[in-house]
Amino acid sequence: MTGWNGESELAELAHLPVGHPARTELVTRIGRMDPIGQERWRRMLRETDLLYQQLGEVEIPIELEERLLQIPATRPRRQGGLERMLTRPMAWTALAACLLIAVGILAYLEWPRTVAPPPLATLDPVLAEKIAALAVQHCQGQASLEISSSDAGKVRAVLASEHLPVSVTVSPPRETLMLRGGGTCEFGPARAAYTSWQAAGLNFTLFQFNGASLCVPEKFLTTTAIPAALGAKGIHYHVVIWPGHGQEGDWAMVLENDAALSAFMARNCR
Amino acid sequence: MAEADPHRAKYEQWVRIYAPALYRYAYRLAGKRHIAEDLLQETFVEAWRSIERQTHAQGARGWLFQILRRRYSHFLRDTRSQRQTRSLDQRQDDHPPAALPLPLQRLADQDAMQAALALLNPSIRQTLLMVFVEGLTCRETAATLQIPIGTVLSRLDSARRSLRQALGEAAPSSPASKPKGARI
Repeated sequence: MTGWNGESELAELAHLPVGHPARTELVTRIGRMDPIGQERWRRMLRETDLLYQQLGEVEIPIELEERLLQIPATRPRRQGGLERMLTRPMAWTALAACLLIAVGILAYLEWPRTVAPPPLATLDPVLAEKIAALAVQHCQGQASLEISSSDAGKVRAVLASEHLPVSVTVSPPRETLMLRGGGTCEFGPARAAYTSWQAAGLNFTLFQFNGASLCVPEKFLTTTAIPAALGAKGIHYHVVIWPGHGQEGDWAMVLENDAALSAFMARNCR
Repeated sequence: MAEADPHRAKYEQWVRIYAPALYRYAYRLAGKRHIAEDLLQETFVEAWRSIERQTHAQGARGWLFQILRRRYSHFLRDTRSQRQTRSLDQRQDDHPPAALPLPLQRLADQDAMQAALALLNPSIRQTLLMVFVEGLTCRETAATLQIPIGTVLSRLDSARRSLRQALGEAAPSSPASKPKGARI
């Protein structure tokens, strides 16, 4: 006979209903016991079956199922967290606000940002001085215009035929200026086209050249340079430099003028 | 639409499948049909209201029985409270104590098995019904009640002996009750 643990195990199995696989095993084990032990355990199994049968014999009220099926129609279901939240108007507002904030944060973090261009600066003073010096040197050394004509079309045609690395425009920098003529010249390392203009007895020379060869940046604020060292007899040239309106970095213009002494202009740039 | 509600469909399935076993359990536990019906009603109301949270490890059946046991314990607590209040009121009114029904009268009202069950200690009755009506094994019963398996077996043995006596049968010596030192 088994000890307490064995008895306990058998007692546990003896409470299983008919048909349970473990109960079949119990029946086999009971069959190997002595007659007294067999009788005891078989009586217990009979009692187990009787208990299952009698305790299960309860008449179920006919209308019970129908009554229970009516419960959902009369009792509100307790909603889950999310569902409860979504059925509240305030919650929708809060959800929308959260979504907006989330979208805003995402947009801030992920949206491709347009890099703000650095603020424009005037031309580097050293470079401006260099360009101004070239312009003044040209004006001081020039004896006569290559093309003397007030016909802008004619001047433009001649300059275009020179195939300069810059698209030459021949239009007055100011409306009151009158074209005198133009030509080409060496402008430091670059080749330039120049046009000469006159207004109220003053001469103005416009140089057009490709700024790349002089390391002129693509864009810059209009810069004025007064190369004092090149002044003669107290005459100071005002050289105004501004970027051209062609393709970026393609060319730069220099306007040389001397508003103070028209005599010099008449002597040197004519 | 009821047909479109998956919770409603699940609920109706539970009613059709589990309501009979739950009712048997409730009736055997409470001993009165109207109490059993009330318990079942409360059980299914709670189940319906919390249907989304049904995550009981034993599935819907175990969850429903768990609710039913909880509702029954609430019922017992309320009944005890009412009985105490009534007892105090009767004493204050100086009324003679109501005559308790005789055991034979109670047997006439209920079937013999139910009368025998009524004589059991509530914890022993509950353990017996968990095994023979709910269909749990002894180990599952022990786990659900959070008591040792030896206690479950002891309670079952005690229940068997009481039922044998109450039902007038010869009380055989239970094999499991023989050893000394069993944990109760």
